[in-house]
Formats: sequence, structure tokens, C-alpha cells
Amino acid sequence: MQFQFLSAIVSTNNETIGNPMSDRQVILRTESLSASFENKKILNDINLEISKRNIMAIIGPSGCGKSTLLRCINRMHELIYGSTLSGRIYFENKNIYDKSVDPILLRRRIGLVFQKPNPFPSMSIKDNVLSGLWLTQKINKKTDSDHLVENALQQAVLWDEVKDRLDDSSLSLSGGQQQRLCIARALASKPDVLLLDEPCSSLDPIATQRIESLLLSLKNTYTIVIVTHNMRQAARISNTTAFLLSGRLIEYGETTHIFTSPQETQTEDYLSGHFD
Amino acid sequence: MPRYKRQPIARHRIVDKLFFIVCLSAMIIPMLLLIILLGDVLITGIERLNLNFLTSFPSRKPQNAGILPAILGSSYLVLLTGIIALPLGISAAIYMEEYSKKNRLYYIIEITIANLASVPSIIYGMLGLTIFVRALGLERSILAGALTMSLLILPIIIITSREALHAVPRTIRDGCYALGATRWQMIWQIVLPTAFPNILTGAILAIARAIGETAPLIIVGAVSYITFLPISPFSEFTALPIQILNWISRPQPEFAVNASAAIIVLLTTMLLLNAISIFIRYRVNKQRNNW
Ligand SMILES: Nc1ncnc2c1ncn2[C@@H]1O[C@H](COP(=O)(O)OP(=O)(O)O)[C@@H](O)[C@H]1O
Ligand SMILES: [Mg+2]
Repeated sequence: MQFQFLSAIVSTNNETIGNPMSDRQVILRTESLSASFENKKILNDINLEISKRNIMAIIGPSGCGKSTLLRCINRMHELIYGSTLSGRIYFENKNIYDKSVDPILLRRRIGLVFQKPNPFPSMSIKDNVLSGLWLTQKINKKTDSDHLVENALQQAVLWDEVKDRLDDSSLSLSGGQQQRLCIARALASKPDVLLLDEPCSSLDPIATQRIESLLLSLKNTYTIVIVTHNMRQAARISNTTAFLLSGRLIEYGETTHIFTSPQETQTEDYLSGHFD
Repeated sequence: MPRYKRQPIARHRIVDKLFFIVCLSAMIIPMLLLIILLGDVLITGIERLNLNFLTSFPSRKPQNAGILPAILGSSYLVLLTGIIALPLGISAAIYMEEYSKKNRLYYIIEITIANLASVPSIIYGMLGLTIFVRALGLERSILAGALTMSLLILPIIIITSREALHAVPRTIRDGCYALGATRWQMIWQIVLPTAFPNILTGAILAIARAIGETAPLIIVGAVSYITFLPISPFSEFTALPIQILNWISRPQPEFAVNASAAIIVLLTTMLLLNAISIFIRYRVNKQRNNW
């Protein structure tokens, strides 16, 4: 039932999204990527292509390794004590795990928004938005940056709620507002790729809808990879979908195909609600 | 509702009441003792507490004696102690929390520091006497006293600063790295400012401890009768607790009055410092209640 419902969403969505994947330039490609924590294998031989200016949804049951995959893509995985990784990830045809690549510089180009909102508690709302620009020295604290703040907050549909209290502590915001602040913070740094880990799990339906339209509007400038538990959301906004199960990439492809005619029975079972 | 189900609840209520009374008296009894003690000191000492008392030198005549050198000595001592111990202690905490590998050596150091925090202060006095006063030849100087006090409060500062740094959640650090920050930037621009109020609270409490400590100062040779103001870190000095001790041990009752007045000054300073630290903690907790 759910399955048919999702197909319906996809078919309406399909007309607005257009462009088949084959036309698109691949910006990120993983090659036999495996990752583990203390000898416990989390990701197993992942081969995935992500095309430029495109929204990819990553779906799969909890604990299947979606967050880990995102963390591998911007080299955050290696920060965890006891983590190991093998395989390659090509970003614009260069292996990001090559010795010559500085993970700091890479992360400036591949932003990540976490599942749990994590605004910086010592900073005001405004400073949080600018923090990425300060940290990367794109601007300094004296730069006139009001328009940057407004822009980013507008994009993250938070501006109207906070415009009168930009100097308040970021912790005075609700969970959903904090999450949108984190999205604004990531957007202000203007990365090429934006990774979002279940960004809407702490948002109400209205904020969720706004974030979705934000992502759709960003699709023409950014490459977006979004992990989501919400199948309808994946169907509504993504062009391509990847399905992970127990650390393996079961299949990926155009969202239309995945949702209407999946090649693997596991995908079909998951989509019709046999997992989760 | 059947009767047998009510019975235990009624009993729980009585137990609950009893427990409440026990807890209440556990709180009230020490409070009462403290109030009696303070009241006694206050009643005896308040008459001597005037500007003259604060701005005079010690004297053989109790009514002329004052605590000016003791106040200046204590201030000087605490200032130097802060300058020495705070940067050292906070840096050590940053190193242990943010940089050090968590290997066996790390745990040995961690346990040692915890043990050092509970070593009696008189032992620090003897250490200071051996190292600073004798081996380094600093004699009975403010510097020797401040170095000894620094040793004493260093473990406290390291422990409280480490706790403050440790309380900065992993998710905040991750957020910082994900923006492309280096570890240095992460520590200086995000972690330290986030932990700062708690580091400050710990530092204030450590400083308050240094103001009140007496034993190590006696051992490293603070003198109680001083007729000049300490100017250089190498001059001899006295401190408030030393002055109090000296007055209490005199036979004339008038000196006991002086001691009470000096205790009021000492206690007010300490309570003020504690109040500041409680205030900071309260402000921060209020702000961060939805962490
Ligand atoms: N820091 C960690 N240390 C050890 N195991 C972890 C850690 N983080 C995640 N895992 C394990 O890795 C697996 C995948 O986690 P994750 O990538 O967060 O899954 P998902 O995001 O799909 O729910 C889970 O089994 C989880 O228990
Ligand atoms: Mg996850």
C-alpha cells in the first residue's frame, strides 16, 4: 500500500525533476569503500556514484551505516577513535584518501549537517551563521556581514523567526530552529557538496516542508546527499536514491526506478514496509 | 480500589516523610552550627571592623593593630599564585583532554593528579620549604609562598578544567570539524569559549582555597609581625590567616577581638568569591538548559 503510494509521489515528482541521471557529471564516486569501528565492519564494499547538482537520498533501516557513509565522504570517519577505512572515494576525480589531500580543506568543500542539532553554545545566533566563514578565514570578525547572515537564514527559513534576536544565544532556540541554524551555518560557507544526515528528524511538518523546498531550490547550485528515514521525503525531493542494508549498498539509481520498479527484492521489501 | 493495594502506599508515605525529616535535619544542623559560629565571630569582631583596622600595621597594642600588611600580602600572594597556577593548570588540562593519547601513562598521570588533590596541605608546605625556600634560595619570600600555593591548587585547577573541557559534547566538536576547522581552531575558538564559564568557576574556587590556606604558609615561613608593606615578590610577607592565627594565640582577650574582625574580612572575601562562581554556574546552566 505504502509502496503504491510512494510510486504515486514519484511519478508526479518525476515530471518536475526531468533530466535522467546518465546526462549528469559524476562529482563523487566511491570505489570498494569499506569502513569499520574496532574490527566491526560497518560499510562493506560500497560502489556508489553521485552526480553533480543533484539530490541523492540514502535510505535504509537504522544502523545500516548511512551516517557512517556520510562521514566517510567528508573524512569525518577517521576522527573517531578505533575507526578504519579502506577503498577510495573520488571527488572530482581525485581520491580524497590520497596522502596529498588535506582533510581540513576537503571538509570546507563538503559540508555536513548532523542529525542532532549542534549549534555552538558559546556563540550568538548570528555568530553561529558566520562561524564557518571565520574558521576558514574567508571573512574576519570586522567584515560587514549582515547580508551574509540574512541570506543564509533566509535560505534556511529561519530569518523571520530570529531577525529580532540575532544576538541571543543559539541555545535559546528550539530544537527545530537549532537544526535550521545548523543548515544556515553550513550554507553560509558555500560548500560544493552538502551532506545532510536526517536533517528533518527534529522538525515539525511545516519546517520540514520548508527545508524540502529549500533543498529543491538549492539543487541547481549544490550537490546534495540526504539521509532520510522518511520514504515520502526521499520520493518527493530526490533524483537518485541509494538503498543501504547492513552496510551493503543493495542498489541505487533514479528515484523513479527505485520506487516503482526496484531490481532487488530487499529494496522492494523495505519500501513496502517489511523493515523498520 | 481494593484495600490491600492501599496499605503499602500509606507505608511508603510514612517512610517518605521520615526520610524527608532525616534529610532536612542533616541540612539544618550543620547550617545552625555555621550560623552560631559566624554569629559569634560577627558579634565579637564587628566593633573592631573599621577603616583604621583595615589600614593599620600590626602593633603590640591591640586597639592600634590592623591588617593592612596581611591584606596586601594575601592579595599579592593570590595574584602571583593565579599568574603561576592558572596558565599551567589550564594548559595541562587542555593537553590531557584534547591532545594526549589515552595510553597507560595517561591513566597513571590522571590517577596521580587525583591523588595529589587530596594530599594534606602541610605536605605541600614541606615540599615548598625544601624546593623553593631552601634549594632555590627564595627564602621566606612571597614568591616562595606563591609557588607553594600554586603546587597546592594546581591539581584542583587541572581536574576542574578537564571536567569543563570534557563536558563540551562530541557533537559540537564534530560540527566544528565539519566546517573545515583545524584542531587548533576547534580548541581555541569553540571548545575553550564553551568550557570557559566552568573553567572560571573552578579557578575561582581554587583561588578561594589559596586565600584560606594557612599550614603551608607557616611552613614556608610567612611572618606574622611585619612593619612594612611587601613590594617585591622577594620581600617577606604575612597573610590574613597567619595574622589571625597569631592574634588568637596571644593571651590578651583584645587580640581575640582583632582575630574575629580579621576572620570577618577573610570570610567575606571567600563567600564573595564562592557567590561569584555560583552565579556564573547558574547563568550558564540557565542558558544551556536545552542542551
Ligand atoms: N562511534 C562509533 N563507535 C562504534 N560503533 C559505531 C559508532 N558509530 C556508529 N557505530 C555503529 O555503526 C553502525 C552504523 O551506524 P550509523 O552509520 O550511525 O547507522 P545509521 O546512520 O544508518 O543509523 C551501527 O551498528 C552503530 O552501532
Ligand atoms: Mg544515522
